[in-house]
Amino acid sequence: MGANVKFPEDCGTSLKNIWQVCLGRENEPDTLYCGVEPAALFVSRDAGETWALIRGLFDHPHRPRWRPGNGGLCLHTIVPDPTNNHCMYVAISSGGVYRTDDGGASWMARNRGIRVAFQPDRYPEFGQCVHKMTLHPARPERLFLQHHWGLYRSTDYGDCWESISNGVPSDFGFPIMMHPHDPDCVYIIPLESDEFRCSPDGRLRVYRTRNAGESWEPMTRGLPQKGAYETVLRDAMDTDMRDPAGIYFGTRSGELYGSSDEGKNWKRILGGLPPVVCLKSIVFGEPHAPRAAKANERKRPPKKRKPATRTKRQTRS
Amino acid sequence: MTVQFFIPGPLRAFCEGLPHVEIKASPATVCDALEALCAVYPGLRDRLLNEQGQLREHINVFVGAEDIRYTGELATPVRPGAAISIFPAVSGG
Repeated sequence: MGANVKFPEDCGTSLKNIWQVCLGRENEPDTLYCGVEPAALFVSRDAGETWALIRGLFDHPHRPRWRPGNGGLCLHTIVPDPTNNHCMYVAISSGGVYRTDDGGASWMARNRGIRVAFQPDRYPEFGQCVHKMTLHPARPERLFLQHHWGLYRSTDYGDCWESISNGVPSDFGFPIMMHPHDPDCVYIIPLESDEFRCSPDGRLRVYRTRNAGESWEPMTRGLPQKGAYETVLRDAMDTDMRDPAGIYFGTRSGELYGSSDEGKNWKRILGGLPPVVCLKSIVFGEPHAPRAAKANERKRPPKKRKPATRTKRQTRS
Repeated sequence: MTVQFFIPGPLRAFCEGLPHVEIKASPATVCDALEALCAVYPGLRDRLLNEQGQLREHINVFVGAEDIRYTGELATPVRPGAAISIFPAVSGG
């Protein structure tokens, strides 16, 4: 796919890495979005055959002042509003959150309330280092965000953000993920700090809120609670669409864990993998299987309840 | 004349644990200011500058609120009483 994702010659830049490929909405089945390094967004309207740079974002006046982090200047998260084809969010490290309300023609920085610790102005208009952002289709106005220090929620389509770091051992981490069926339920995996990017106290803990961030609870049963200095990257956690939902995550040390009961109990599924930088679960033959899985069912013999990992070239963290 | 420095947490071990450091010097540029800082706290030098004397890739320096990337890098002028902030760059993952 990378061969087809190209910056136009007049851009004066070239593709370095692909960070995210995102399916279009239910009503745009041949549409894909692609976030890349250097930070930019591409769209395909023919299921990936051809791609076009979204100039409204690339030409944004803020872009010259977006700064790369250690992982590069990347657009790593794409969140289409599932109820509005004109609305979409992207997250850039380090540029922050941007939203379009006109299908990508124009973009607005949407970072009000997100504090940064890495420059004198603690609440800049843009430049935040968002690690991941998510929303539930049932509540498209409400977003959850894991920042480079900080957990945040917006209840107004990203216009304003408020801290929801209530009772977590650290508000530093990478992934943040919605429960597939419960719009108030969100999962995170805290890391100790940006200096020490491992499970706090050597205890591998997934945290869950069931009240949209008012409080968090640790989910540890079956996870190592001693000497487990693990790192979980932003795309290394996923859920399936089953009920109860399966939750899966992989670590930089190549461990894969899963829970078939929404995080109450965990099992080590696999070890010895390369660093897990991206994990996708696909359930075959289930009534609520995601769209991608249904498409694959036509091509492959059915399998059941097997989460699949996919790794991409390791990026520095 | 003095220059005020803000030192980030990870580097405070090299300047007696201080978050703020005041150096008596009259630097013309950020380069001069960092040299003055590193003369007092030599342990900072290798953390801020590479062996070519250039700012390390993942160190950000601000004069006032301005990132020196946009004002002349190490040649950025420093006015009397300037406040210089040093931050480690954020990282991906």
